[in-house]
Amino acid sequence: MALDAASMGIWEWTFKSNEVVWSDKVFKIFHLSPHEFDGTFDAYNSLIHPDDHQRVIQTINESIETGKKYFVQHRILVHGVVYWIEAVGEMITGRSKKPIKMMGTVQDITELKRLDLEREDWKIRYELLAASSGQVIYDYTLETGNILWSGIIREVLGYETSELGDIKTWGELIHPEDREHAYAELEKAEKSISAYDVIYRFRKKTGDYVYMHDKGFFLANVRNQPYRMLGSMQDISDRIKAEQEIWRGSQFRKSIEATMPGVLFVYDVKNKRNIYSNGRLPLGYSHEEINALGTAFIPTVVHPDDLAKFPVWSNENFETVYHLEYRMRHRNGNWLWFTARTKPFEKDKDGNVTQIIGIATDITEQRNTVESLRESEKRFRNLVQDLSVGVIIYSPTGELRLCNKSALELLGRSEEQLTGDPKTITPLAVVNEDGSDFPIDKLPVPLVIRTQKPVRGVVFGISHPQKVDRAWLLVNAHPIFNDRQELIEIICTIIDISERRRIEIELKESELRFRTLQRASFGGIGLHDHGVIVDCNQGLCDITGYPMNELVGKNGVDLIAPEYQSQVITHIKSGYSLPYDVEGIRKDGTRYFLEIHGKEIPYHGRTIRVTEFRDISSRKVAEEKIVEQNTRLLAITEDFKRKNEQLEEFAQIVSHNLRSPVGNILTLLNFFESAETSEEKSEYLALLKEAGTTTLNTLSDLTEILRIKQDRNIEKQTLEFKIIFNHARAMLNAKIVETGAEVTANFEEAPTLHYPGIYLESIFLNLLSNALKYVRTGVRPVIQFKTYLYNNQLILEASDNGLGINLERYGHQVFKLRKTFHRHPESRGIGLFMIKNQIEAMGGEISLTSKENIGTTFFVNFNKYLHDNHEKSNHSLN
Amino acid sequence: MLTLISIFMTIMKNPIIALIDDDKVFQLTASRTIKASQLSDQILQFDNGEEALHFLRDNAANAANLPDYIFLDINMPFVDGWMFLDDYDHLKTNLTKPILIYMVSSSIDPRDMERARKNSNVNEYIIKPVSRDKFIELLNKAA
Repeated sequence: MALDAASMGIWEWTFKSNEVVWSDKVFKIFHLSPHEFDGTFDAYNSLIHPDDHQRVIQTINESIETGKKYFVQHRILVHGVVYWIEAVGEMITGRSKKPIKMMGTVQDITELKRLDLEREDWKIRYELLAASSGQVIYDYTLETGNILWSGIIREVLGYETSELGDIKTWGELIHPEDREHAYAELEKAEKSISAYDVIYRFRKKTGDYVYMHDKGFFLANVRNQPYRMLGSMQDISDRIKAEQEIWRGSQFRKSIEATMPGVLFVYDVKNKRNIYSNGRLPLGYSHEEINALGTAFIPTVVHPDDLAKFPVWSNENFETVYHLEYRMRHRNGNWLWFTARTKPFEKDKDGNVTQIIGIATDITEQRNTVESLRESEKRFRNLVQDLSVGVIIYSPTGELRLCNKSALELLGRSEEQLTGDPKTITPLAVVNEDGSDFPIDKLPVPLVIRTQKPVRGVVFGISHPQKVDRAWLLVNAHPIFNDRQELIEIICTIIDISERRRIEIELKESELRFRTLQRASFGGIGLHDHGVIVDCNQGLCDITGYPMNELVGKNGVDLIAPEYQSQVITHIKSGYSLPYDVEGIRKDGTRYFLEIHGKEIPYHGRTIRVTEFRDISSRKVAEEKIVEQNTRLLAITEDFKRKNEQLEEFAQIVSHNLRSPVGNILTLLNFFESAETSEEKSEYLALLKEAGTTTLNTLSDLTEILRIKQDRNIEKQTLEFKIIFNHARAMLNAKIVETGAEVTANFEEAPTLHYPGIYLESIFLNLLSNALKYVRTGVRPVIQFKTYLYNNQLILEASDNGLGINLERYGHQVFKLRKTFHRHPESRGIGLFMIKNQIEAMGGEISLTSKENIGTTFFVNFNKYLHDNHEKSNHSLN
Repeated sequence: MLTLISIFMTIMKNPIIALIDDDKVFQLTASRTIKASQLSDQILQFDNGEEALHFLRDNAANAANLPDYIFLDINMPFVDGWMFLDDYDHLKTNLTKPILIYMVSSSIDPRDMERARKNSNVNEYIIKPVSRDKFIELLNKAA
């Protein structure tokens, strides 16, 4: 039944009897009725399609020989109709293991086979299609990773189908840079069961990479899970390359456009307008404006004169290049110069040029430069024409190119006379300064041509046709090179120095006269250039003690005493021209007084200084004596003035201090005489006695002062301040103890003095007693004595912290006799007056500073007048 | 005018006299002479200029106490005659009474005399000793 359902027949073939037994179904399958089949193998055999016959027999034999299962599909031809059958059989063996018979099933597979064939046919058709479009077909089974490859694998990639392998091999063959992307896209497509569409580079068998465009589709099962992928890969390398080429090409064009200095344009000849321009036309118009103007643009901007010169194109070949320069007007009205090169770009079928391509460059700047250069050259030539200096410009071969008026006048030749080969025209009779012939090869221009170096300061004389004397010329010649260091011309300047020469000769003569004169002079005369003696006369030798040959070349400043040298140098530098006095030093080192009188004169073309030396020693000695005597006189006058002051003071003392008590005595005597009572008389007598005593005291004081004043030459001895001071302090010890005064003394800086002992003791006594007298109540007296040198003068300083004196009020009275400024019982007003006289008698001075309630400081300057006045006046008297 | 002066002088019959001098003998003899001559019995005595200046300052507003005459010595300790005159010059505007100043000195030094003459506050320079007649002359001069 099952076999029936499957429309299967059963057959049996016994070899020995060659008997074939079919079931009914088999007859149906074979489309035969039972009488049309005799039950023999031959009958079956005749039914097999001739094309399959051999294969069927072979299969049968294989089964008989090997005992294997028999399986064959073949066509049968029955009544002219072909059917497909599938036969499966098994060998039945006997006891001897020999095959006895074969049994099996058979079914009609015609329909099956037809479908099969149809499928195969599609496959072939697709493959043919794929091959014709250069595609590689794949069938990828996700579960195993296997890929069935087909299509023109070999042609496209060079691989055999087997070599392409599975999904792994596929991945490995993708370019490493593209691989990741290819996988990622694959995963994405698999997940979403969508189309896979990727371009990647794929390695060919040769190792080269080709661009593959991979397009695939996933197949999903009933559970919507992808299990298979079908697709194709196409080599698109050519397309990619082409694209790249295009891209590169456009990049190239863009860079050219960007970097090009000028304007690149394509011009449509027929339509008279630019169809392309890289947009760098520097005329101030926008792209839109140019478009709007259309064909009117070119005539608008191009100068009409230049437009007329534009080339007219016809059938020129592509190699034709036209070059032109033309003006275009900027929107702001300025004309700009352009240079352009144009060539045919496109031609029509008749060979006529339809479009041209060109590059235009703005050369306005360049043209302006050239223009201004031309202008300046023109100006230069005009200038040269009018120059008073002769200028001749020669070519590198020595031909005259330009010659100004001055040059012609200086040479006394016409321009025609000068043009031509310089070698043939030298009738100038050129001579040297000494009158000898000037060597032709030393002439400046030929020399420059030969050496390529400037020649300067050549002096020669020529016979001038219009002049009696020779004309003397100073010639410079300068080579001019271009930027390739090639000589392009020689500029030759000529100056007439005839006059200068004449003056020089005259100067030489005057110098000679001067030299003669200075030789005859008594004073010393030296010519020097910034101090260095160039020439001198015998007088200078006599004064300085140097022989002439030693003086010439010597620095004249060395003839001056060092302390005056800077003054002399300053005067030389400033060109000082009045006489002044310095001290000179002779060769033997002795000094002498010197009056210098310098003046600047021209000499050998330079400015140098002529200096006269005059020995003024005798005058100077006299002068100095006068100054010395004057100083002495001043000192004496000063001394007299002081003495006079002292005398006047003395007169005052007499009138005040002596007349007063004496007058009192007289008055008292009158009162005494007219006194009526004895009490009165004794009162007047007592007063008389007192007045007498006062008078006597005053007289003795005065005597003392007088003695001091007279006793100038009182014996002096070297005294130690310390000893004298200690003596004085001992005398006043009681007072020191009484006041509790702190008395200190420091004489270390100036310990000794040459002085009369009693005077110094008097000074110490008076200053110390004074300080002890005028103390402030409640303040412990501090009294300090010290000596020191100030400006080389010996000073004794005595300071106290006592009452002080208001110097503004009482300053004029301090050292006066009988002046006291304090209501003090012991004030007698003699001490300071006394020591002032003593100090002054010894050529010193006493002064003080003081402040009330702060203290007083006395300064004794022992030798203030001792050295300058006192000593000198003594000296002058001797 | 004359009438006025005589009236004024009548009031001044017994003028106040200031002696400024450190000389005790002069103080004694001068005051005795003035009193004996009945020129005045109101005599102020000052040892030096400082004391006199103090007095004048203290009594500047009190005309009755101020002297009519001052006899001023030059040579004094502390504040001498010249210094007194310097200060007096500043002081006098505050004084409620005109004062005649005689400079009295034993100095015959012409410089002292010249200096006194130039000082507008000094009426006369008198050389010591001053006689009785001189006092009478000086004190009556104004009268």
